[in-house]
Amino acid sequence: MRDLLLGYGLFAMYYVLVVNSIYLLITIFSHLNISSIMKRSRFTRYQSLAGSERVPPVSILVPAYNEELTIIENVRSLLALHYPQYEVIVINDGSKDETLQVLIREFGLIRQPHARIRNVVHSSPVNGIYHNPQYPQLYVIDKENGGKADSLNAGINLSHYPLIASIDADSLLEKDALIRMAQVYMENPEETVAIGGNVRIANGCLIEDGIVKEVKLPDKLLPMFQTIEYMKAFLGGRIGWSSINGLIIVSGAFGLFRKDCVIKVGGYREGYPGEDMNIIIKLHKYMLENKQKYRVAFCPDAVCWTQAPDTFRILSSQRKRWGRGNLKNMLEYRHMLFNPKYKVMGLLTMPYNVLFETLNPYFKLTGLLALLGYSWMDMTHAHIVLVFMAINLLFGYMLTVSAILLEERAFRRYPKMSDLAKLLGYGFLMFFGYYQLGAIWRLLGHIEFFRKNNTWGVMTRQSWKVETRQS
Amino acid sequence: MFQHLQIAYGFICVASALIVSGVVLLLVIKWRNLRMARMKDEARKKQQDYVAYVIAHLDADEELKLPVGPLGKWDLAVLEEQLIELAERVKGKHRERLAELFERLGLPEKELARLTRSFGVNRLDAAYKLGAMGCSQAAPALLSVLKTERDEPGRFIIARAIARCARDTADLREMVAHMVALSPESPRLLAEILCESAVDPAPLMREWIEHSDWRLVLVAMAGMPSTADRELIGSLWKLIGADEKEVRINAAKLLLRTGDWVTPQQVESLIKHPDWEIRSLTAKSIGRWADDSYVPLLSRSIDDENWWVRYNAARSLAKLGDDGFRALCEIASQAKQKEIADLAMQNIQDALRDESTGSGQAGAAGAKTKHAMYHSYFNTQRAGHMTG
Repeated sequence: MRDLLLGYGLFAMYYVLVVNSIYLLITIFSHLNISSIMKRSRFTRYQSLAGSERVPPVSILVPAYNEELTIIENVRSLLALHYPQYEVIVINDGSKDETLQVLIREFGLIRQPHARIRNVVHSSPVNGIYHNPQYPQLYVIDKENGGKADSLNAGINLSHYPLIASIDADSLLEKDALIRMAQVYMENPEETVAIGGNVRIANGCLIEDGIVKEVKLPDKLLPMFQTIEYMKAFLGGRIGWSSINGLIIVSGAFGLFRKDCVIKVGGYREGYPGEDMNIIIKLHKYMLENKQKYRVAFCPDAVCWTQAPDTFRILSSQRKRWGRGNLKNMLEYRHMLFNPKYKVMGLLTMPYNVLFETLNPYFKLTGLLALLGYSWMDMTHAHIVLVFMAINLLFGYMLTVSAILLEERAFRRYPKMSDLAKLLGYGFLMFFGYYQLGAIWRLLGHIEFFRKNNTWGVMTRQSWKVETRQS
Repeated sequence: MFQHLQIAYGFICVASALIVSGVVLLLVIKWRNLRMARMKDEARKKQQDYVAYVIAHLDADEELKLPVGPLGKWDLAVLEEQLIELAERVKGKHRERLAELFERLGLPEKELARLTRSFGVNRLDAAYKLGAMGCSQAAPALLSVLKTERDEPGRFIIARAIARCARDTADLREMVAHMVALSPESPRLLAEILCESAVDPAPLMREWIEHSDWRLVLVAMAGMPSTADRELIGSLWKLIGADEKEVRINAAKLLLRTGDWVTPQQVESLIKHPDWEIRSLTAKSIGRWADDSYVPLLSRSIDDENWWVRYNAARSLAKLGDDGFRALCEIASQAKQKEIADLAMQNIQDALRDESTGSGQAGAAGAKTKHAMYHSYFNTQRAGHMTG
């Protein structure tokens, strides 16, 4: 029994080493690629591009469910973007609160009884389309509740432009975020099928009129941990993955897509969370099966600010949902795993995702338990548990330091020396409870999936004004 | 077991060393950045009055004076940054005056030396600055740097600098030829870059529109809006039959920019074109021309198989005065398909609302006529409620 436990514990240790080594490799790609991003970011004149008629027009889709507290500021911030031609389509997904009413009141919207939308991708029945010629760029679709993917599909059906951008209703876009993405798109419009934006945590920042006026790190523990977590995922991970065209997800909070490609793959998949990962997998699959040259790019200087959950209840609900979405996507596209036809996606991204995202909680938790059991049987080998934990911690922290280094090299959003100390300190603290909780929540998400629980879960918002006052 | 532990201990040592190095590096970078920011801030305060003087005297006739006293390293760097920021915002005479000032400050020479000496981000920084200064002596060096740049975003930055520094169309031609060979899918961005040049790109556009390389044709068409002329109509008609769909669509877009460039027969052929994009563009353009002789043509397009053609035909009819409005009323009252009737009705409502909110006597008269027409077709006395 002892040998079995030890063997499994060692297997788990090597698992941690292998998975983190792959992540380290991706982070190295990120470091290699960051200078190219810095060049574009520093030396491109976005101001002149923002006034050009050659920039392709964009339809911004904003799915909204019970967003009465944040929707007005969000829409106002979107209507003030520096972009030559765009429209904002808010999709009220059968909200139970006053989301639709506050929009109607604020923007003087009028129901268009004869307005119809195309049916290029499936979506739930639409109750009405609202518009006011005084805000010619703004449309609101009121539809029956069908989930986020369904709302995005309804938005696609109404949209008038060749590019679509999906934005969460609780997020704020920086004024030049969209034009920065347009520059990336215009560098290679034929091959670019999607571009991901960088999502940053707004908790703690000073926000006025839907604009982040002063960037500060969050004061609360959970948003602070998520700031570091997002930094690791977006800068350490996604820059690297995109450099080898292996990006598996474009965050639902902010992404730009070629509409014709999204329609070709049947739009967003309804019924399950993880629609942001699903659409990207479908795009990869479609392009590779049809032997078309393509790229899924990432634009880290196109920034979207979002509210991070600041209670355990909401955070656990979000993480369980992510767990369910990830598992569903991996099961649905398991045939792509290790299939050379799907190139980087099939041979690296998907296997890595299964190993690191889907199976991670199982191996890490059971490995730790096995070594604890082994040590309990023979206390003279208790140090093995410590070695296992030290490897986990040190490799993980090395990746944290690397992500902060990327931030400091390229973006410098947190200017003070105390910010750096805070990032390094909290980055270390995360290994004592937060990551373990994350693994448990992911596991619970999987259980929910097998019990066929597909609800969105708890997600309460607070007004940006309240958020700013609290900070 | 022992062997596994040895590996683990080895890893722990390596990881710890890497973490310590990373943290030290971070601290050094942070300290350096903060120091640089402080120095720049101080220099900015010192240069504040001089920059204000430059802005105030951009329109004056006399030569701009140089800053008083010697400039330190940081002073010069900050002044350069601020003047470049200004040069990016101005055009014509103002930009020329700033170019003179850059010259007298010795900045183009300094950046040219950096361009040839350095690599990576520094080289691009020099290229960008030379472009912003509009330094024509830098064009040959920038062209040779472009040929060695392997990074795609970097190439666009250098290409833009070349456009800003170009001495003549030959420089622009060489730059575009190189860019098209390496980044063939970005004609719009290349056109955007070309239009930033002080050298008129129109002769190049005329040359490329007839070119056998469709990638150059696309650049020419994307660059047209500011340089197009009637002489190109013949070439554009030829391109309507090109093999590349993108070329056909762009040619139609340019031809349809004004109603004067096409005859009614040509419009009819375009609205029956096999590409739905061209049919849709034609339907949309007619609305912009506000030529009511096309009402019958648009009324037929409302039955097109493509949704966008139907949508644009209905919207354009609403813009074609009383005749267009009448046609919409007929379609809404007689259409067999609900979708088409709804499309027409939506545009009728929009037109009624636009007339109601229109100002002056003409607006009031137009609203009255349209309301009367609406009553006659739909037999209602409360047309007003439809406009909300």
